[in-house]
Amino acid sequence: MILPILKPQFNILPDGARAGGLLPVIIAVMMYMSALSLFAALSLQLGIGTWSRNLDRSFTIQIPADAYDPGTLEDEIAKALKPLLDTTTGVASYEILSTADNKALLETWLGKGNVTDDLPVPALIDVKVSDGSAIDAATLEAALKTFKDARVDGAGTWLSQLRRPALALIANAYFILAVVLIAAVAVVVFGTRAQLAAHRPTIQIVHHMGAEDTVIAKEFQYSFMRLGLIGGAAGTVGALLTLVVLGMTLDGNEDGLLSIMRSTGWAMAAILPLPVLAAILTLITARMTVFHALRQIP
Amino acid sequence: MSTLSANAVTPTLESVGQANRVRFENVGMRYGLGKEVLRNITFQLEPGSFHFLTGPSGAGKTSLLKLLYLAHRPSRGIIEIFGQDAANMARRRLPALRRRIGVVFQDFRLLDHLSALENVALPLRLAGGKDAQIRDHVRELLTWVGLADRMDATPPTLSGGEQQRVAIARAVIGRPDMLIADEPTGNVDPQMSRRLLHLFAELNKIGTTVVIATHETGLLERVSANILHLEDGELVPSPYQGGVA
Repeated sequence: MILPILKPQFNILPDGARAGGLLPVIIAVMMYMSALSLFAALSLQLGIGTWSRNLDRSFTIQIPADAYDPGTLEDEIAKALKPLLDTTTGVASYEILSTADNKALLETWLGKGNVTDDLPVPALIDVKVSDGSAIDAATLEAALKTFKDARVDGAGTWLSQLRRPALALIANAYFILAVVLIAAVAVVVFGTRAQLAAHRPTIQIVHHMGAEDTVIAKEFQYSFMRLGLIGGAAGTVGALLTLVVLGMTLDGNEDGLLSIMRSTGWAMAAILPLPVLAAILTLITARMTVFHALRQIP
Repeated sequence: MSTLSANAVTPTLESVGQANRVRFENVGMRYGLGKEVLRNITFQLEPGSFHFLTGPSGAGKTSLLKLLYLAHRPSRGIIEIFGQDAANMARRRLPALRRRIGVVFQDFRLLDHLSALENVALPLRLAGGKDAQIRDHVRELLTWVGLADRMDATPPTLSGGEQQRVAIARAVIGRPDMLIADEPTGNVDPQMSRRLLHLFAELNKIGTTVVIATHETGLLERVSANILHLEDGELVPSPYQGGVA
């Protein structure tokens, strides 16, 4: 329902002469791009946050292949490594990966059947960090140095390298959103000016008859707001359909950055109010444009 | 608690007169950076007075009317409309002042997509009138100007004379404090011309200040009125009357 205060009071402009034509299509395209940009920015933001929180909760201890004997490793770990890990604050649990687990990990990169027994494979210990704790990988690595040249492989270093491009992507998405919204405003300004120019004599008459600027602005803002709402709804529906199709094609391929963009219900929900935003944006833009134009009339 | 004297709460005739007075003093006007089209214009229109504005084409009549109906600001001088400084008035205050002025344009300037009835109703609507009352008033006036059977017709389907009558009805419907008409009888037959002039005179009797720009010397003989005569952008003594009002 539209507030009566926004509706035109008089038929100053002829029916069918108000904003129309291709304008709703252009607004729909703008809102489609806005929706996708906003979704990309928000889902990356949400996804990176979740992802880094998950990765911060685990790290791996690597023991070089030539530094251990598989037959005695478990006993040695129990004697030397367990007391250290047990006394390290934040360590929730740890697990020595079996030879079979190690092979499976390598097969992802080298291909099935290519991991032979003579391949030097480091021993891996997967350490889980308890919720809300943080472990300093460098300090732990220094403490482990005496144990078979063990190395701590935390996610922090490469995660920070990943964060930078991810933040750049988010910033770009917001920038694109801002550019598209500015373009949408410019389109509405041009549209309003075209309408004002087409009906300038009529507007001058009512202006000189004592019509307030708000009365004249209402004749334009309402029709532009309707266009904004219609275009915004069409663009948002189009963007939602695109995201659903994209989500379906990503099913089963959840690795990498693209997986971040899946299952982001909040980002999806955030684009739903876009038609209302488009309506408000077009209304305010049309109103301001009319006010500005009327100030040019003595 | 203090008491107020009767004089303090009741406006005197003199104060009402000043409040509705129109005064031009040393007014000059130019379009953009061009030369002045009006120079040293000084006159005063008392409330309820009747004036003709005469002068040859290009003398500045339309420019003077534009200043009167607040469509242009002067480049110098003082303009008081209904006692208010219209030359320097804030833009947002002008619409209320404009609604007290009725204007009949030479080219009528009706809204082509509206019926005659809706065109005439527009000033009342802009003033916030009630729909039912507006329609009754407008029908009555359109009937009076001989357009009873043309109320629903749009301007493009009306003759020149009919359009002129709609334009006049639109200007007078709100009983303005000042009526400005640019060649209001140019397109009507002599009988209708007399009828319209009678309408202006009736309005004038109830206190409306009337200013009619005209080339028709016949009109000047029919109504006893002051004459403002313009020659080359300046007010000069009228050749049709003893002097400038």
